[in-house]
Amino acid sequence: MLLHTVNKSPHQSDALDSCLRIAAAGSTLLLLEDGVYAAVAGTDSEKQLAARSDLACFALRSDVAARGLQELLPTHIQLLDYSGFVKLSVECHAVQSWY
Amino acid sequence: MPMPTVTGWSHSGPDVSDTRKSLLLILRSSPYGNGLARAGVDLALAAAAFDQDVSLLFMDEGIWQLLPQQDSAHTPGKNIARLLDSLPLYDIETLYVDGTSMVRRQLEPGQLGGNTQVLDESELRAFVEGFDQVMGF
Repeated sequence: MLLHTVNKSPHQSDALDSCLRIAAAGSTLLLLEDGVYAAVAGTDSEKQLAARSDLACFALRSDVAARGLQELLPTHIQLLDYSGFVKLSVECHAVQSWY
Repeated sequence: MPMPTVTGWSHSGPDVSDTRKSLLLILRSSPYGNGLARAGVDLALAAAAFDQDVSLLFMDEGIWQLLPQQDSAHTPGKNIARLLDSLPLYDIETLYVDGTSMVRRQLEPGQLGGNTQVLDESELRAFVEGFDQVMGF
């Protein structure tokens, strides 16, 4: 399955929207850089993510922390460190970055 | 004077037949706003020239690349529509298009150049998982 990475805020770009349209059940989504804003609880994008329980959704911990979002993320988004990012990249057969 | 010879050189180039991979390019950039559209087409042509199995999926602003009447005479860079027209010469016959991106831009399939096939959401999800490699431009 593919690993999809999104590095743009959903308020700025349609990267996440398009990614979610294409991501197949069972694939993995990693939010990084400004992509982590998509996970802020209660936003439209967070609801979209919550509705995709068929995806494994992660946010990069250091990008979440840098933006002060630690208390704003819902529990269905798992935080990931860099070694976890590397592990995901290896486990998935290909990576598609949405930028 | 004899020509110098290089040992180990095969006239036909390296044999890539056993390294043939399927490659999907997801093209999401408008044709002249930046260099990404051109880079995507260049990669498609290069990969196809090396006998790789290349497919192109146009979505988001990449849809605009498919308008057939592009006149880039007074714009820097090559005409993207003409480059896309050359793809069948490289055995890239079908151009895949995201239906939602088209609808949002008020475009109908008949307005696009090339031999396009429109995919809906469920078709897209199955489609993208069928490739060895995926790259976005």
